[in-house]
Amino acid sequence: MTIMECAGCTLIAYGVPFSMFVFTIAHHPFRVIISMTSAFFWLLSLLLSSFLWFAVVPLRTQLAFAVPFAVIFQEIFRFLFYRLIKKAEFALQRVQMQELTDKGMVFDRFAVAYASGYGFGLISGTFAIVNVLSDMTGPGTLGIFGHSQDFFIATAFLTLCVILLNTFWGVIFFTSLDKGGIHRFIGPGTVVLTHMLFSCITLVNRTLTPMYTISLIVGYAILLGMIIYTVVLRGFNLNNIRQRIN
Amino acid sequence: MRSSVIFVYLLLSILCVYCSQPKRIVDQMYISFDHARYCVRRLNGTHEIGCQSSASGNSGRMYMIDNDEEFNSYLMNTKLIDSSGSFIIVLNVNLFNTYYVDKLITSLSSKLNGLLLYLKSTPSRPEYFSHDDQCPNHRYSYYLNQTEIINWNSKGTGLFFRSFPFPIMLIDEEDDYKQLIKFYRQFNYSQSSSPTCGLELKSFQNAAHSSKTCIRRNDISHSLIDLEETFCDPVGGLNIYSKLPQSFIIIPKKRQPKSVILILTTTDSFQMFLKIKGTTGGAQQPATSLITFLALAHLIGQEQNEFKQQDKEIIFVTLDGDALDYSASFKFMFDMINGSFPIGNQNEEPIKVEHIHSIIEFQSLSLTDKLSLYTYPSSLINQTFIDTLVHNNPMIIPMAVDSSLPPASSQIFLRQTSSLSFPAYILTSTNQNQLSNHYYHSFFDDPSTLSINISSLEYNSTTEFSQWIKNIVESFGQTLIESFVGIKKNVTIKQEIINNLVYCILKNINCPLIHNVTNQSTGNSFDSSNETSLPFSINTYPVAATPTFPFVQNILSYFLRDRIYDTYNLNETTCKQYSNNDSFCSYTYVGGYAPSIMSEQSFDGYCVRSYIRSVSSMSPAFTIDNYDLSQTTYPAWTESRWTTISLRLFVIPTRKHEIITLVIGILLLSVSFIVCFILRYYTNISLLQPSSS
Repeated sequence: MTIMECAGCTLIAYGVPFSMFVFTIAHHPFRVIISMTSAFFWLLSLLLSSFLWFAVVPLRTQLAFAVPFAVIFQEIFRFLFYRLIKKAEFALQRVQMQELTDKGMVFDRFAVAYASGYGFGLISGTFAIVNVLSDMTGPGTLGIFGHSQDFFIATAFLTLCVILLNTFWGVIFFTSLDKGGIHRFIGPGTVVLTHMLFSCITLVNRTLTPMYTISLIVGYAILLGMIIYTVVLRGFNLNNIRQRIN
Repeated sequence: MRSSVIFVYLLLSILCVYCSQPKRIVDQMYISFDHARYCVRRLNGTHEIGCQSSASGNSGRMYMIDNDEEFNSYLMNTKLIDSSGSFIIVLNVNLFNTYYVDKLITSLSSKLNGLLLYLKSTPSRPEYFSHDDQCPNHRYSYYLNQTEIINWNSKGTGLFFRSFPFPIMLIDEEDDYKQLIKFYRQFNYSQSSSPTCGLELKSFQNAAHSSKTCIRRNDISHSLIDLEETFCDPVGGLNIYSKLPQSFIIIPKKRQPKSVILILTTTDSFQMFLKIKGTTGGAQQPATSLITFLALAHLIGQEQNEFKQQDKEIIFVTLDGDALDYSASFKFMFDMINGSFPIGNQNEEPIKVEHIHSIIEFQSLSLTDKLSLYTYPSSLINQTFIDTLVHNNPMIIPMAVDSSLPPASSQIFLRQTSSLSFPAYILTSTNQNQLSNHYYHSFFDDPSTLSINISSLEYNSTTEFSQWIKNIVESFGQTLIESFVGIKKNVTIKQEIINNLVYCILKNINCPLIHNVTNQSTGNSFDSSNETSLPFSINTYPVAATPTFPFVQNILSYFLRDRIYDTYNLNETTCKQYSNNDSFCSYTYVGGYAPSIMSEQSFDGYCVRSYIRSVSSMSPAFTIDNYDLSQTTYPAWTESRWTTISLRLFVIPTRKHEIITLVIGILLLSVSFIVCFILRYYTNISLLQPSSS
């Protein structure tokens, strides 16, 4: 009865993002819209990647060829979304909606970056795991051909990692571009490099007896690094944090 | 507008890209067995028989039982039985009988989720394998009531007529068995809590309860919402009859009483385990009888000049549907009593019960040294006929006067006429009141039981079996001529013809014989059944594209053709013109079957004048208006419809693993929820505060 396993893996992959959604995005219609639009941009990047995959006929079976290009396309579309947001912010400022500002409808750049990263991550994670989840609903699990039984849990944790990573990449990307100067290159550069590193590490999982621990550890290490980078970028130091907590 | 069209096209192509991806996880999780035999559900007026699975399949932990000791140790191993909620028992086919099955059902009760039988290898097949009743076709009153009840099929388990709440499948291919045992040994040998193998059997049957309920449900249509869905089909095929195209009794000429002799055989059988594109069994019953029947028809056709000198008609009849409560015989007698035999031409005087002289049946013949001749009733039989028959063929042993008849269609012919009108002569292979067929109504009834090596059988191979048939047919033909024409004549049939019939029926129905006796378009319809033998299984109405009926129709009508036309050199258009003037016979233009043609000249094509009729053999229960199907006047068998049948092997995760996964998931969700909650209400982080932007 692997319905239990399917439910468990769904909760692992979507538990934390669900809480994030409830407490940070659900109450804010603007952030909901940003998330959905951002997800749509991710879909467009996937469309382009699949065209490339489809076009290069001999390399269709070699996933290792398609993955780096998929990463590059995703980051390009993240940048395009940033440009779109910039235009919207500019237009909103032109209109100078005083009533909206009184109501508290401010253009919070950090929130927008966060929501965009979240949307990107959610759709990316969904595409990674939803096929696996639907195959899990049958009576059996992996193992008849010698695969490891931990595939499903590992996939769920990797999906969680992907969603969270994308959220922080979004924040880093947008914040760095807004800051200008040297950050305009360091921020996006870090994002692209770590994204590439993470995706290529997951290719290791495709062998018959994969070491899921490698990709999981690398993924969560990258996540930790991204969290620290975000915190540094936002200018937090110990005093600020103490202020916030009170 | 154009851009949206392009966009939709792009999106569809992405979907195609994803759909054509062959590497889905599900391919790495399940091993499918596509050549498994399965048991289906059938219904009669009041009950259902057969097997049923749930709509999404029955799955459970696999446990293999190979012999009696393993069986007993399994039932005593309560720890193992408690360890899993459902089991699929993989049972050696030798252990498939009422004792073991009932014990499993009572010990495991609801935990028994399915049964998979396996055959280790072809030589290791059990000696007896028949799941028909011990006294076949002896239900309600669908048999001739005689004083003594004999168990003709004493090794029969009767499991075919039981209703199982779980699916039963059978793997008979050696590769499948090897794969199964390999994975079983790999995973299930150790009784530790490592993951074990499981099986899923899916054979959902649409019909339920009884024929009456199912036929009623067929007619329910929710008009606006959906189309009518058919859940079951009535059992029935075609009853085919043919005779020499002699003179016809055209109204107002009167038919003489006792002027028609019927020669009967059946064309159907059943198996408990069906297979798509698989052998159906039926080599001894009914193929042997059918081959004898067709060869006798050829002999009669060959000697038609002798038979023209007397006034009795010999009509050859094949019945389809008698394996289940003699449905076809009931239909035939129903037609005869109601004056619709023979159909086709209203000007032809119907044949009624008083016109029948006697019936002769070939039933359950096997390659035996001795054949039994059953006759009934003693008051009407012609002893001279029996004596001549025995004299011409010492292999035939007449049974004692008024002894109980074996399962045979003649029982219904006698029952419906109260055994007062005509006698029945049944030729069968029994030995001391036991059918010689060890695999009666089972798929194991294949040509190897007739000492035929099917892989090396050629179109014109003379086998012990075909020589045995020649012997029987010639002596029978001789007896018929002696009894009805009154002359002693040594008749012979070419061995080649019997060899060809054996090859066509038992090995490859798409043979030169059928192409020689049919016109081009009919002959081409057999190409799709290349390299398959004649299927003998339960046919349902509407009649599916089974090659059985066209095969029998064309060969029977050709063998009994008007042989004067063999000497005419006609072309196709002339042949068609003849058919316009004759409303009793059919005219086909065929290539011609050389061994059958006696004339010295040979032409490119022959016009064949023959008399052939086919009638639906569905039980009268389905054709009489307002007939309550739960009545037992006529049998009312139906077969369920089904969609997919599948058998899959996989690994079942351990309970511990499943629970750990679920617990981790719930923990993550609740912990993250609580953390976010705390952060919102006890800190000042702007991201988490509810606002309107």
